[in-house]
Amino acid sequence: MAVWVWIVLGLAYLCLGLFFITIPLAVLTVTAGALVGVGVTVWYTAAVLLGDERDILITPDDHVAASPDGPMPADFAWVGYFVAQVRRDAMVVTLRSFRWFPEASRSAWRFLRDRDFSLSVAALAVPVTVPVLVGWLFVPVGTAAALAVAWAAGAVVTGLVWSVRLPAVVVLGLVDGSRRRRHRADAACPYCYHVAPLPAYLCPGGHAGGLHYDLRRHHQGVWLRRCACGESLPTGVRRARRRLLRAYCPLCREQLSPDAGVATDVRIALLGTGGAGKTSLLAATVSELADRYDAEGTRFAAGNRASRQRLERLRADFRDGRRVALTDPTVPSAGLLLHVVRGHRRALLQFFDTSGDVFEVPTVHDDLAYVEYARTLLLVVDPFALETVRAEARETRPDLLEHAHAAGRGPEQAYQGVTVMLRNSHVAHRQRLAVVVTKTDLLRELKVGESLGHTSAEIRDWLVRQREDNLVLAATRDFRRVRYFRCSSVRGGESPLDAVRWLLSPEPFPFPAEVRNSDD
Amino acid sequence: MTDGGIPPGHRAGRLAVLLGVVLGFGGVPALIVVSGAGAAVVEAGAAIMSWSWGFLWPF
Repeated sequence: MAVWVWIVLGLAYLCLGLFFITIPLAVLTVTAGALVGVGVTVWYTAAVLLGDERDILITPDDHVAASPDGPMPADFAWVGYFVAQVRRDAMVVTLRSFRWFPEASRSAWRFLRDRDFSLSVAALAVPVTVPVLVGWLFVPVGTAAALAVAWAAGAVVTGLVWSVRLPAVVVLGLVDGSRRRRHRADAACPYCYHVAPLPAYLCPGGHAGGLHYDLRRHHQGVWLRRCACGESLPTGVRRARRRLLRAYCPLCREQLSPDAGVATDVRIALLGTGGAGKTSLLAATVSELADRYDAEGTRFAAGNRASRQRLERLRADFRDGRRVALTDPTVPSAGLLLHVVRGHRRALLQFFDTSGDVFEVPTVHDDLAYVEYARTLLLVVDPFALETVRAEARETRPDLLEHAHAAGRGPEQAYQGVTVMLRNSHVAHRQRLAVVVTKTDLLRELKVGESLGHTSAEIRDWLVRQREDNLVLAATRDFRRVRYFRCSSVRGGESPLDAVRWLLSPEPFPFPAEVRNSDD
Repeated sequence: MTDGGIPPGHRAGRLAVLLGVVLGFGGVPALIVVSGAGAAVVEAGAAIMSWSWGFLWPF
């Protein structure tokens, strides 16, 4: 037959095939292709969500590696599922649902390409292959549609979870924060003097690197968090305290009191030159506090082992009337940590007592970092270091000078050494300063001591008369509140507790009732 | 312990998402049926097929 006859027959076959085979078959193949795409997505969704694949998990290692470098290391704990992992799962399902299609298409093409089809067979198969090809192309369309449904469903579930999670985080965080602010609860380290808003807690799982630096409700859990070791930890410092987790300083990692971050935390820094009587005043203060707390049945004890030994020694020295040993200037001052529990109220009281020699060497002011963190300072003034008093004592009672172990330098030297540092850090205007004239039991044996009054104004005026007007002026200028007191630091003498009570009066500190009711 | 495994919170979260997906896949056909879109699609397919196969009727 002539060629044109074949052409006419071919066109007729294609036209008839288009109408009677291709179009009806395409309806079926498109539906089938889309359903295959949906099925593939359902399969991968179920496989990811029900599977145990470790490779696709955002592990604590990943979280630590992705966290920006900060002052504190990132917590080695699992991030909540709806915070990050849900997005990772969605991406994995999406990638796997689409990734197989190009590879399968290439394999099918390679299979067909390697077959030796004749032109006539290929021409005859066109009405069938076209709808099959169209149906194949609809597989990713079905995948995309199914993924859209899965993403929408996942987004709805995630949104529902966050609609509960976010208000819970905010409300519980506000309650926790306001309670800590009301109680003025901090995590103050007696060793490195760092004051953190809350302590780090050690995971009870007993593994290395188990410190959790921020247990608050956040990305790693609203009510519970999961350590990398699998241990379940509470969120919030109060529940951590109830679970008896060990508290640590987040900076130097020394162990803190279990009540750190929960109890009212107050710190008093003692200032003064060497021999001014800081340690004697401390001994008198803690001894009188202990006696008064014992009398009312309030628990008053040292907060750590070092403080326990020191407290016992100070109380014994005060009780027996012994002269306390001079503080070693070569040993960095660790705070004397005291723990008070009255009913539901708990407080941690720290006294920082550094050798007076340190105040005279500006290069070692790193040892005085606690002064910046303390809201309250107590400057101990040895009257026998004042030139006017020394002059009278030399003339009338030279034995008193020896008995008083008078400080070699006046109080202004210690004051200026510290306040230069405080001025630089702009914290002094927020602090309270109590200026305490000590050794009054010996001072009143001199004529100049008889004129020392009992009120703050009288003591201030007396200091001015003793040519300490520079000190008085500078203290008034530098500090938010300044008040003047007197004490003798000996058993049965004038108590230093009035000064301590005034210093801590803005703090919610449970003072012994007898002291709290004393005259202001 | 979760070493080598999935933490319980993740397991619960995945089950919640899976439940949502199942409800979603169940909800889409239901939506199609309720809205009549499914009927329209089936009718369109049937119309295409009857249109093309209709050419055979004279034979």
